Amino acid sequence: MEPTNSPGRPDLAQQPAFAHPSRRNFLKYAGFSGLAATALAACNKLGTTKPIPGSGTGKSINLGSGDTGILNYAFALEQLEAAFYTAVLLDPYTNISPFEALYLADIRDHEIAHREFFRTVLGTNAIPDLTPNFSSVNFSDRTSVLTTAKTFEDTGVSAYNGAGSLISSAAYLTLAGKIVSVEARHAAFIREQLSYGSFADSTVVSAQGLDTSRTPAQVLTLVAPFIVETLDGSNLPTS
Amino acid sequence: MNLLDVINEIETQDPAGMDKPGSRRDIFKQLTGAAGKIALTALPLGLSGIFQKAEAAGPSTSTTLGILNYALTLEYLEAGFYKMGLSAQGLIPTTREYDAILTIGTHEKEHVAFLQSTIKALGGTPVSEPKFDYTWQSPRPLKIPVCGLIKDRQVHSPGAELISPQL
Repeated sequence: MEPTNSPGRPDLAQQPAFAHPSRRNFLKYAGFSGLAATALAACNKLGTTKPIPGSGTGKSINLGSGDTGILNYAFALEQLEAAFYTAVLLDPYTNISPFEALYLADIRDHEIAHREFFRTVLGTNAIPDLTPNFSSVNFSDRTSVLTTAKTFEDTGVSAYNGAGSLISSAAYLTLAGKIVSVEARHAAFIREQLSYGSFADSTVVSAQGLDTSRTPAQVLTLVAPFIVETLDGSNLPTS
Repeated sequence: MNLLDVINEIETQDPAGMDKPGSRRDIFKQLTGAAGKIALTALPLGLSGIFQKAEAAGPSTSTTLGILNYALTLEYLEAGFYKMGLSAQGLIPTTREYDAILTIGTHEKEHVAFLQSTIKALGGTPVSEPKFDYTWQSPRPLKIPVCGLIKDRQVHSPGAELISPQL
């Protein structure tokens, strides 16, 4: 276990979790990602690797304002996606094909790369690691897993599209553009695994050929059930 | 069309304009007002980033319109390509592949229409569709893997050779 003095990681000594030093909380604040901590704890406790839902602090986390707020918003979403695909690959659904496993692992690796990219860019402005809540997902069922993946990817695409006009820095806008296209590739792939021909259907592409766009408020509402902590986007830019 | 290229092109043409925090927002207001029907949230990420405003008065429309017409040209290229493929008898072997390419081709046509109307809404003139030469491609130009994943639609890199000289 490593000390947590790297940027973006909470200082151990100041964490309220130390008032309740459960093994999982200790691992979390010792520098393990939230999901790895839960996975390890779950291994010992339940003999499986499924994350334990609903066991985080539930506290409110302010995303911040300006470009930093938008970056934290994106960081939060990438954390969620990375955690989800990590969980899927740790305990794949029944009869997963080698083909599906290979490409889901690729997606997982992209999301982890995105997550770590935002962590690095944000530095000391980064929000803490979030605790995912995947209790609504049946990880042994292909349809449940892929439908959740589709929701995350579609939501992610709409989030980046909606955030575009809120970003001030041209450099960050360029980077967001390079990420949203990857998320859309993920979404197209997942959609095809669920239903041939749905890769770019009218549920996400408008009559003008434009992909969906959502405001941060809309997205935060959609992802709230999957995150134990409450994300506070009240200081994000709105125009 | 690779919107990243569009954004990069804007930065190359007008680097100063891209960093003005207020400028993009002013353009959004102008767009939604003038066009009436282009909702802010309907703009995809790339397009939302390409508008910038000159220091003093109005928007740097010549640069903006130039870049939008560049994007429109790429959309003409793609739309024409898929139209050609879809109408070629016996070229696309399965219904599933045909339907997928029809979806893509339809979107490209919609992009052409959208960019044309956006350019007009900004007071510009959309470029006409160029004469394209698609003869470089192999007999099966659209390589679709067995799994049905859609190939990267990046424009063939020396794209200028596909565009007729009168552009």
